[in-house]
Amino acid sequence: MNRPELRLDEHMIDAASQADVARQWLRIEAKLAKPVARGHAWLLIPGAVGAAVAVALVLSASHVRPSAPSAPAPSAPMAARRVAAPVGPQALAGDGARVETGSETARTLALADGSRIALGAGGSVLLAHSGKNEVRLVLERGKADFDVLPDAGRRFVVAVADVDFVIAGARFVVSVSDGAAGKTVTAAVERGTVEVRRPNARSLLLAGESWSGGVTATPAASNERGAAPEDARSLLAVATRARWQGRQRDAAAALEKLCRRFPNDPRAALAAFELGRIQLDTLHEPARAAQSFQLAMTLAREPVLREDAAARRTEALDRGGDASACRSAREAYLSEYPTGAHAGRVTGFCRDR
Amino acid sequence: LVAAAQRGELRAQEVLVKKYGLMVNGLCFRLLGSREDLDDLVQESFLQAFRSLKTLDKPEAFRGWLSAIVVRTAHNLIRRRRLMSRLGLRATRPVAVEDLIAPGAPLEAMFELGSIYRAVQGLPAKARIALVLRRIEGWQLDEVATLMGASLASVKRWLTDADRVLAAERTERGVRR
Repeated sequence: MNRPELRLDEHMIDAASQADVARQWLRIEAKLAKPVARGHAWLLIPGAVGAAVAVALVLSASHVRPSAPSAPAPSAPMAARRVAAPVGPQALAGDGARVETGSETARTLALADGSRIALGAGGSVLLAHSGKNEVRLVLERGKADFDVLPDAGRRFVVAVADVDFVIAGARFVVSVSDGAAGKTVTAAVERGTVEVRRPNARSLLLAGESWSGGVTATPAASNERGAAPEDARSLLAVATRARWQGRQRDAAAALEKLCRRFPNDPRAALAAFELGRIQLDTLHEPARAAQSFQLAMTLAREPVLREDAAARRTEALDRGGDASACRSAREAYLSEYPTGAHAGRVTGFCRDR
Repeated sequence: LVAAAQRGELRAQEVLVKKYGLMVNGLCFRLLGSREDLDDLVQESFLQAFRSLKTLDKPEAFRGWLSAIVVRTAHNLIRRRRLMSRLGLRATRPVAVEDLIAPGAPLEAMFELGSIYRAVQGLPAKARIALVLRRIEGWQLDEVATLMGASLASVKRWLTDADRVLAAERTERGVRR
């Protein structure tokens, strides 16, 4: 196909970076692992108004975007029957991903390793970290039924306030509730074993046993108020949480600390890139953003991230009014990536200076 | 690569996502006119593509074939949004045009993009998509028809409707071309 005439698409902002694509792939991969099905709940456009109303009501009943596979485009009666059926599992992937359910809806979530979480109504769960050695989820409110597959090489942790539940292939139910005396956590193990870790105590729960106790503060809040996190992963979790809560300066501070203290960590390049994005797009500090993107270029091991960072550095220099450095960065980008993903945009930077 | 993905090789599918991900994100973003639902649309488009990849006869045509899937998936999403809005279950948000245009874009491009994205809000889904593919993506009429799986006559009709709305939008703002 030919692409003629004025290319307006080249004058629109970038929709995504390669890092965004990598994050999207994780979710696609998780869904591909499930049995093949056609269609998609949010894509259904039923032929009859009655069915449409029913579908729309179901789709709007939860804060979670429906993502369950479903059958092909239905007739009206078929659509109505589908509405009555439970919605399928939704993939939970990507550090910082949070799912919240409405006051009258529940949701089944699936992790990439096949573990399932049934989150009850009015619940909220955050995937704080998903790595090779550990998966860490935070149950922020409500009740959840965890069905965790055994994995000897990976710890599976569910954190509720200052309590960590370390699960080794188990099914257990945790709920957190607010009372006059503060938050109370209750856990019951149906299968397998779960270790309960509190600041000053540890205990082991076997199948059929339960545990209950009061808690005071969330782990992330403790970290932010108390001793500084000591490793790159914790700093990244603090930054992620801060971003979710709209505290962009705190997020930037955590990312900056990560880059400074752990430059050899594999996450450092991405942290530097994210830091640059926050500084440029949210804090409007182009000079500092240019430095962060430069750091991301230096640290990046993946060529695509290096290219993204080079393009955004040129943009930051352009926005900061540093014409000479911008031109130099632009020429360097176009020389290294003449047919790069951002070549069109980069060509337009610092043109009239 | 496409042949390996057709055999269900996960690594090949990953490379395809990473190779075409920016293109798909860009197309989805421009069709939607916002980042709302962007991730879902991108993911669903790739899932649809991988699930029907065996039907693709010419691996070298993957890019165009994938674009057609994105267009079809976006069409369904836009229709669903409209349905939800009509039922009062979804707030209709105006497109924030200034958030879509790149810094440093020439005035002519800013003007065009502004007009188009203000106009698309009042257009039926197919006219909206045809307008974006033709005026923003720059596809030829027959290519728009192929991407939308429609006849050339239908595309012309949708674009005529879109041009009428576009002209009205410009008149309303006192713009003469």
